[in-house]
Order: sequence, then structure tokens, then C-alpha cells
Amino acid sequence: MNNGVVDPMLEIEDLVHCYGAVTALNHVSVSAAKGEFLTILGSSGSGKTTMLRVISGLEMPTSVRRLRIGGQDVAHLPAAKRNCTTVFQSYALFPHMNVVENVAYGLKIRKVNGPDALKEARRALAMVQLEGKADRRISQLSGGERQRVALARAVVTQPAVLLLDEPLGALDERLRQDMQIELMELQRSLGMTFVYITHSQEEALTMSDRVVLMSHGRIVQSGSPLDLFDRPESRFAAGFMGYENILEATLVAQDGTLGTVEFPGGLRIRGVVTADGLKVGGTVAIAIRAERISPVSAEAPESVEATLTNRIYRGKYTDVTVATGAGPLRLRSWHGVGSETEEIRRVGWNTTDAVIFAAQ
Amino acid sequence: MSEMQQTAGASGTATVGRQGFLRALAGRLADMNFAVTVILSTWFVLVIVPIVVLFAFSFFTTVQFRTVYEPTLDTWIGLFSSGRWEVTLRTLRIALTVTVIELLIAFPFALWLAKGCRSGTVQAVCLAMLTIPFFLDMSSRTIVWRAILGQSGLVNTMLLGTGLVDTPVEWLLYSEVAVHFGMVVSLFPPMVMPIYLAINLIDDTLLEASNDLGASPWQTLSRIIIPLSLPGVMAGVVFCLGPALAAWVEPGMLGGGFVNLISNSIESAYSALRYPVVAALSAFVILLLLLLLAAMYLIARRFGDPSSVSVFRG
Repeated sequence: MNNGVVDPMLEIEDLVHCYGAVTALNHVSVSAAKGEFLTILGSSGSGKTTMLRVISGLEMPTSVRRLRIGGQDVAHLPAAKRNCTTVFQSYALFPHMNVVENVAYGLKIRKVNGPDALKEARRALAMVQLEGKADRRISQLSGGERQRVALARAVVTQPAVLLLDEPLGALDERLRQDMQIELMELQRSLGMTFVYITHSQEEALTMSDRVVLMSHGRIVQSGSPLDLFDRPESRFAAGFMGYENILEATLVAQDGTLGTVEFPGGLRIRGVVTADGLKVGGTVAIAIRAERISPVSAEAPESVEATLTNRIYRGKYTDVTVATGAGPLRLRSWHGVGSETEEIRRVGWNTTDAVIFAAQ
Repeated sequence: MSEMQQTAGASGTATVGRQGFLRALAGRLADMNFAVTVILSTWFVLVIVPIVVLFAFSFFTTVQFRTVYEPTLDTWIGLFSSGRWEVTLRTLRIALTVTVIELLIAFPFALWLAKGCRSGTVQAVCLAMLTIPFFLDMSSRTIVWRAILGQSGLVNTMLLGTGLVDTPVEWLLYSEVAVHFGMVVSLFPPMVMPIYLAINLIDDTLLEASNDLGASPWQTLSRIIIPLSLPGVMAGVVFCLGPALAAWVEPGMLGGGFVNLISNSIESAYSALRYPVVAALSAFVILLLLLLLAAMYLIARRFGDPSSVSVFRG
């Protein structure tokens, strides 16, 4: 899946990492191109943080066939010798240094002379709009400002790869959204490879060029945000990406990527097959997002008869549950649209909005 | 407290329950103030006042075993004209040597115990071992060394038995070496503990961040660990230097009368009932300690960037 990457800044092949008897990473391969924003998405325990620690060198992998950063083999190099830096979840700013000293730390370590290091550090601080607070103590900064200092400190040495470990996790909703945009802009202006760890699908979809979805130490799926959002290849991916309707049925026909499934009552639905190796006649799962389903009139092509069972007003939108031949389906419509109070007899969707993959 | 009441009064719509809560909180704060006042005044009466009285006593004199309550500098002048410079310098030299040795051994040990030792059991055992000396009286702990270091002691018997020496090694006991040794052993826990606690408080991710930013272990040690553990080092030095300056058991038991320190002068003055001399000597030790600490503070401020010192400035 990584063959398409040109000019790779990060290459990992067949990485295995165990903590005692627990396998945190199970034969994982990932790569990232120069200037790419790669997001590793997964819930806690998926192995995403371990992956980051292995890349940074804070953890030495149990085994790896290839681990390169900026073309250099780093599999046996200590963290200090690797051309990558980390923005830690807790920021890990040095409490005994002020803001600009924190940022200049990496430069001073590299024997850049004092005045030059401070000048560079102030430039990095200007980049994150904190030049006015260069002489503040860390304890005088807000969470968002600390986050920016950590960012400036990590990019000031111009590493080949910047690793970000859920850097927005500790910020409040509003600030997080602003920082997402800022991070993207910063990444573009620096042209630096970012490897971003998060458990939030929203962050992953908003910021990334490519998303790698992980579960239990394995890569479940990787691709563009749109691929992951619209073409999940497994039940786990569909569930993680927020598909509300995942139903089991029997695959009765497949023509290229177009598949047809049949429900126990005889109802047939068509959809896009995203997974390889499905057998006609076998049990599969079909998934449709609630917001892609809407009430339709009788002549619509992909539609089923439906009876309203529940309607819940949720502020911005209304959640509707209907009973159909395929089982209960959830619909979501923006609150205030005309059809909201109408009686529902049929619901429908675009064929490409339904995805078919293995049942397990 | 009045501020609390104002807040409670200002929020006119506040419910009775909320006001009750604030009042209870104000009451709690008042209790705390009261407790702090009690503790501070007790401390003042029991510790500070005696030192002041002691200092005052040093300006009196004794004539025929009776204290003359007339302020004079005679005792202080007598203190330095009677050749006590030598004793003072020896005390200072031994106390500082012992403190430096302690620091050189204790810091690496504390660093290992706090960050290097991965086994919780080993750590617990080490900490428990460090508290053992506090179970025993210092004299009993020290006197044992006579049986080990003496001319017919354990060490010399072994040395003679293995043929490494022909005659017993004499400088092992009743010498400055023995006094140094005794002090280093007994003052190790007070030096290790504060340093261990200070290093233990340093977040591991700070060390990882330093490493990640390219620092070698030595650079992380000198730029992160040492500056952040300075408060513990300062505390360790105080807990070691103070007792070392006032050491009395080790020079008495292991020095065998050959190593005279200020404490021995205090003791002999005390036996002669010359209380003003006792007072002057004790005050002198306290002044020495304060001077040394002030010097150390200045050195520490020089040593790191100014911000590192503010860690223990608060």
C-alpha cells in the first residue's frame, strides 16, 4: 500500500514491537512522503503512540526490517541522533527555562552559538504568534500558548519529520479547531513531513493528506480522508468512521465493484463493494451513513419502504428511526428543512453511499 | 476572610445552600489561619527564642563559675585569642570535605534510585535501608567501628592474616580518616533523601523531550536534571553540613582525642560551666553555617541560568 509514495521521508517496513507478552505493533508498514501530513488514527491501545515512540527512538522496536528517516537508516540510532522531533501530548516544556530558552534548547544542544540560537528561537516563536511572550515563564502561559511553544521548540531545528502526539488533546473545543487550521498552515509553509497521532476522526479528516487507521497493533486501512470516510473496507473502519447503519445481509451478486445484497425478507439493496475476496452467497455487511438517507417518493431508484418509529430532535439536526425490510435504519436531517414533519413512506439514498464489506 | 464574606454577600441571588457552603469554607480558612499561627508561634518560642537567648548569653562572662549579666565582648575576643582559629578551620575543612564526599556519592545514587532503577522492589528495599540508621542511637552505631577499625579489630586482623601488612594499620582509628569515615556513613541518608525526592519529581517526559531534541545523556544531566534537582541538593547540603559542623559523636569516639573540633570545645566549656563560651561557640557554628549557605546560594545562582535558581526561590 506504500508503493505510491515518492521521495519518502519516513519508511517503516514490517515493524513489530512487544511489551513483554503484549504485542503492541504487529507487522506494521508505513511510509510518508516529503511534505505529507500523515495521520495515524486509532483508539487508545491501538498501538499508535507506540508507533510514534518507535519512530522517535524513545522506544527500540522488537524487530523491524527497515526504519528510515529522510533516507537515513535509523533503526539502531538513539533518539538524540534521529532527524525528527516530537511534540508531546503533555508538551514537556522545561519548567526552569523561559519560553525562548525552551525553544532555543535544541539549537544550543547543536552548539549553535547563544545569540544566533536566541534569534532563531524568536523567529520560530514569531511563526506561532508568540514573539511577545518570549521572556515569560512557562507557568505564565495558557494551555494553547504552551502548545505553540512546544511546536516552535520542535520545528526550530528543522527536522525531516515532525511527530505530534495528540497535541490538541488537552485544549478546549474552540481552541482545538483554531489550532487545527494553524497546524495545517504551518505544515504547508514549512513543507515539513508531519506524522500526527490522534483518536479523533474529525481531526484526522480535517488536516491530513493521508490517514492510517490502526486497531490492536495493526493497520486496518490507509488512504485519503475521503477514502476512509466514504469507502471503509471493514466493519471496524465503518464503525470508527461513524457509520450509523451497519446491517448484515447475504451477497447475491457482484459485478465489478457493484454488489447486491439480500435481506432475510427478500429485500435487495445495491452498494459499492470495498473489500476484496467476498464470496457470492456469503454473509456480508452493508453500511450507510444516516445523513445520506432521506425520505423519497416511490419512483426513486435506491429506496425501500419505511415506517416511522422514532423522531428525536437534537438541536442542529433531527434523528429519525424507521423500520424497513432491511431492519431499523437511522436517518439524519438538518433541523428546519421542509420534509422534517412530513410522513415517511419510503427512504432512499445514492447507490454509491452504500458500502459492502465482510461481515466481520 | 472578609473577601469571602463579600463574595457571599455580593451574589444576592445565591441560594442559602451556597452561602452555607461559603461560610463553611470561610470558617475552614479561619481555622487554618489559626493553626498556622499556633504552629509558627510555637516554633518561634521553642526554636527561635532559645537561639536568641543563646546569642545574648555569648555577650556575658563567667567569674568563678557564676555568670555575670553585663554585656561585654570579652567572650568573643577570648574565643579567637585562645587559638581556636585552628579548631575552627579544622572543623570547617572536615565538614566541607564530608559534605563534598557525600554529594559525590549521594547524587549518582539518588539519580539511579529515582530514574535508573526499574524495579519497584529494589527501590523500596533501598529506601527502607536508608531509614535503618534512624532506628539506632548514633553513639551505638559509631562505637561499633572501634571494634572494626581498631589495632586488633576486624580489618587489621584480616590484613595481618592475609599477610598484606606486617604491622597493624594505625591510621584506621583515632585519626581524621576515621572521623571522616564515621561522618560520611552517618550523614549519607540525610544527603540522599532530599536529592532522591527532587529527582523523583522530575517528569520522565522532560528527559524524553531533552533526548528527543538531540541532547546526549550528559547534556540532559547538566541542563535538565541538575538544575531541576537543585532544591533537593541544597536541602541535602543543609542536612549534611549542619550536623557535620556540630559533629560530636564521631570526633569523640573515632578521633580518640586527636581530632579536636568546635563541638569538643563546646563540650569542654560546658563541663567547666562556662556558659557564655558555650553560647558564643554555638552561635559561631550557626553563623558559619549561614555564611556557607549564603556562599552556596551565590554559587548556585552563578552555576545555572538565573531561572534555575528561582526553582528554590519559589
